[in-house]
Order: sequence, then C-alpha cells, then structure tokens
Amino acid sequence: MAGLFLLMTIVIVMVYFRVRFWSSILLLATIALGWCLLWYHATTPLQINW
Amino acid sequence: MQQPLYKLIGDIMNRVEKIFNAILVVIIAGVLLGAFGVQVFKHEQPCPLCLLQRLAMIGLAIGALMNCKFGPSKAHYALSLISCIFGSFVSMRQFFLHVCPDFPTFGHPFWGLSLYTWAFLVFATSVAYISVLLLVFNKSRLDEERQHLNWFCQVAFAMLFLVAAGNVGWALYACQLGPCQG
Repeated sequence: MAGLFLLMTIVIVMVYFRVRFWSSILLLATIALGWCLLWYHATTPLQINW
Repeated sequence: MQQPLYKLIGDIMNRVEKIFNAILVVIIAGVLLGAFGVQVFKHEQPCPLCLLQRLAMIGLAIGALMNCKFGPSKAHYALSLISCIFGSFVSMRQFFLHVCPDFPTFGHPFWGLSLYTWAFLVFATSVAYISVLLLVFNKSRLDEERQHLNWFCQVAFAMLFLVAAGNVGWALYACQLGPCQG
C-alpha cells in the first residue's frame, strides 16, 4: 500500500516537472495496481478486518 | 499588437477552467486532510479499503492538477474519471459489506453517514463536477509554452503533495511494505 502511495507521490512530482506522458502512464498503472489489490482483498482467504 | 477577440476569450476561458480544476484539487486535499484528522484525533486507523479510496481520490486530483499544469485537456479529465470509477467501486464494495442489519459499520459515522459512504458521494459529485466542466469548457487548450502556475494552483499542488507524502509515511509506519491487512 505504501508503494502505491509512493507511486502517486512520484506522479505528482512528475506533473510538477512537466513529464506529461509518463506521468499519465504511471497514474494508470497505479490505478491498475489498485484494482489488483482490491481483487486480492476480495478473494483472499485471510481474515481481514475491513 | 492587439490580440484577436477569439484568442482573448480563449485565454480567459483557459484561466477560469484552471481555477475550477484547482478548486477541485483543494477540496479533495481537504477531504483527505479530514480523513487524516479522524485518524489522528479520533484514533481510528484506516482499513485497507479506506486506503484504496484515498488512493483513488489522489488519482482524481492528479487529473485536475494536470489541467492546471499543462492546460485543460479531455485526456486529463479522462484520468480523473477513471480514478473516480475505481474509487466508486471500492467505496460501494465497502458499503455493501456493511449493509447487512446485524453487521456493524466501520468507524464512527460523520454527520450520520460512514466515511466510506461519504467517499462514494465525493466520487459521484466529482463525476458530476467534471461532466459540467466538460460541458461548459468543451475545447482542449494545452499550453504550448511553459507557463508559471498561479498561486492558487501552487497551493493546490503543495496540499496534494503533502497529503500524498503523508500517506506514504503513515502506510510505511503501519503496514511496512505489506498490503495493510487491517
């Protein structure tokens, strides 16, 4: 989870330094990883305190 | 040399649209700061789904920030809308997990609604807000040369960066590099 927030922080810094294309790609990749994490939490047999 | 009228109107529309986007960023950063406040002052640690909702809110605000920095574009609005869809799914999933009568809600309600319900409302309202912006300002106007951000956009940038960095620090402290299993 810390990694996802770190990616978002990197995207903000990239936007500040006007890296438009790669910041968009990284933002989409982070959202995709978020979907994966949602899938993991929905399907894992571990008892998770929601 | 005097500017043609259509270019002058375009510049004004560009600035107004950027201000509306900066307002969205400041509101989202305020919501995230409020969530931090609940976490710190009420000692309610966020659940994994709450963190994913925060992530989606940051993504939503980044799309608006790109409009401030590079000039308004439909592609930036699309990035915000994708984040909104993701965040809506996460908050609706959490809502449905707690909707059964015997199942307790997560955390203390705020003004009668749980924080994940508020998160869903934030995403739904953001979709409406972005739709209105797309309807009113329906032309992409990417800045062709480097422009300095106005002070309001700089404040929005700083607020969002601090909130995102704060979440990195907290997630590292609470979950290390793991997936925050609650």
